[in-house]
Amino acid sequence: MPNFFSASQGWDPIEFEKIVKTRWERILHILCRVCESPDDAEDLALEVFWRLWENPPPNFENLDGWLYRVATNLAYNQLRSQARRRRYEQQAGKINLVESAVVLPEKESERLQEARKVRQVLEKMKPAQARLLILRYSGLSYREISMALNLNPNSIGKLLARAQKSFCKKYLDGEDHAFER
Amino acid sequence: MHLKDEQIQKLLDGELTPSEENKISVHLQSCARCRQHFEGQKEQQTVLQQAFDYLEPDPSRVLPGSQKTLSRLRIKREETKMKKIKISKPLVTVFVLSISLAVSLAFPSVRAYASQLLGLFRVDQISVHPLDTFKLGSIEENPTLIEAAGQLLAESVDILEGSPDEIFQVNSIQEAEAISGYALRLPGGEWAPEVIEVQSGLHFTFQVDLTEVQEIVDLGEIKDLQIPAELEGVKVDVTLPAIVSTSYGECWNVGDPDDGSKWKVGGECLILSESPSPQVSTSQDVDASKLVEIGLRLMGVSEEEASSFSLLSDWKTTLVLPIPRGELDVEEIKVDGTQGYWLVHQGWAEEGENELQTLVWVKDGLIYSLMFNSDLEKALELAASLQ
Repeated sequence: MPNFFSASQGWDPIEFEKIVKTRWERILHILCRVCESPDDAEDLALEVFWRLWENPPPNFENLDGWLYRVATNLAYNQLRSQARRRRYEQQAGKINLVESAVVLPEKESERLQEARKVRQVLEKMKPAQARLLILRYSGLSYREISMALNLNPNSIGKLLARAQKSFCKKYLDGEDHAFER
Repeated sequence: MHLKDEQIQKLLDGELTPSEENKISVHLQSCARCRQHFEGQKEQQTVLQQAFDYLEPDPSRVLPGSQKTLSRLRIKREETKMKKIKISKPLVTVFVLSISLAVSLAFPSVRAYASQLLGLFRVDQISVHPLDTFKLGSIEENPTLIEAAGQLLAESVDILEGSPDEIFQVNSIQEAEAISGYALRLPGGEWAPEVIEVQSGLHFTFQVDLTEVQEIVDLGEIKDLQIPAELEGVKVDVTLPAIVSTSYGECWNVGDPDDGSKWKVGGECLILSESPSPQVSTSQDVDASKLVEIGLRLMGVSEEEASSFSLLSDWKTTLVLPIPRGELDVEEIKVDGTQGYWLVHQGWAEEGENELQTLVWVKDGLIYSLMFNSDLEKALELAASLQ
């Protein structure tokens, strides 16, 4: 057990805050890709580090892997929760009112639409595949992904190839992804 | 010999050694089919990169720094300073095994694994059997296997109803019954639940692919484990009913995506969980004991113990719980007017405190688990008051 944490006394607060500062940006970056707003991403990042404080992993050698895994799981849950909320709002007729009230530059509007489409595809994928893609396209190496998801590094290539194929099929097939499950 | 998807993927991702990369590059020069394969996969990767570029935060917006979060964390730490006894993951794992339902580990690994361990049955009764080579810690020490099993099996799982990993806190028993779909038995008298939690049920099917299963076995580096050929293509239909948990005393549900439902204990705490039996059926007759044996081997149990354990039941109506000898003490006990088991987890309490314990029993088609750190008498009193 490292000297910044002990089972009987818990965390050394100063060391804990050092860990937060050094990992913050990477964790936030993963969450920003999934959340529709940086504020949501920030809230989830708080949750990641709160869990580290309250329930640290049994093994600190893979601390980064643990943090990535918690972040990805929270991110995926957020994805699903966003999708559910949009379905309810659309059914309630709210979504069209909100979107028509805000006038965005065309390029920004297009980017938001595409981002929404990408998140909807991820939400429709198998959870394990979505998490894998989120981590890979957040810049993690195979080794980092294997540590985060507790996978054999030798299997990452195959799993990624499958996940990518599945994503492309859903993304390019021309279905209306908006409110399907 | 042509290139596989994973070789091309590794080449595209720069994850090959120099000699591997050289070998593949040379092959690509001379193989038109593989060049086409490579171009196709490269195009897919381009689509994905462009798609994920849309998810990049707006470059004009400054992302929040860590200071605000550090301040919020300091406030939270002050607010939650209190004595706690953690109900840790190994005990929660026992809890899961105790009621044969996945409350703590991520779907789909435990759901798929649980269905394999359970074999084909609906639970009418429970018994226990201690094992020397089954260690609770082995579950944590071998997460690679469970996660890999989940990853690979997930691709063949079709969810027909329900949603994995959904846990709701509700405000009333009526709400819990509405979500779970069955009538609950709850303690009477002065027992009033502090927290009511429902983990949603799930109905899914999957088809056994022996190649995939063998990959899991290889990942676990389990020697001499042969998967019976007759399992190939078998379709399995699994219904996992919702689990309703109610807490009494000083317990808080804190949730954790990594550990599933997670509780913290301030003083005396009792957590009752109940659920109808899971149901599993298959497209053809399979040897359920073999599935149980495979499941135990995947969890690190020796070949000899896994084999003899699997023969303890026909796995149609009786669930036999594997108990790690030395980590859990177990006794038969009369609970809620029926025969059940009292499990005492060793080494979790501090001096002067009760150990963490679990009562497990089946009654009228519902499986019950009562986890507590109070005196046994209190737990039995709660169970006796169920109505």
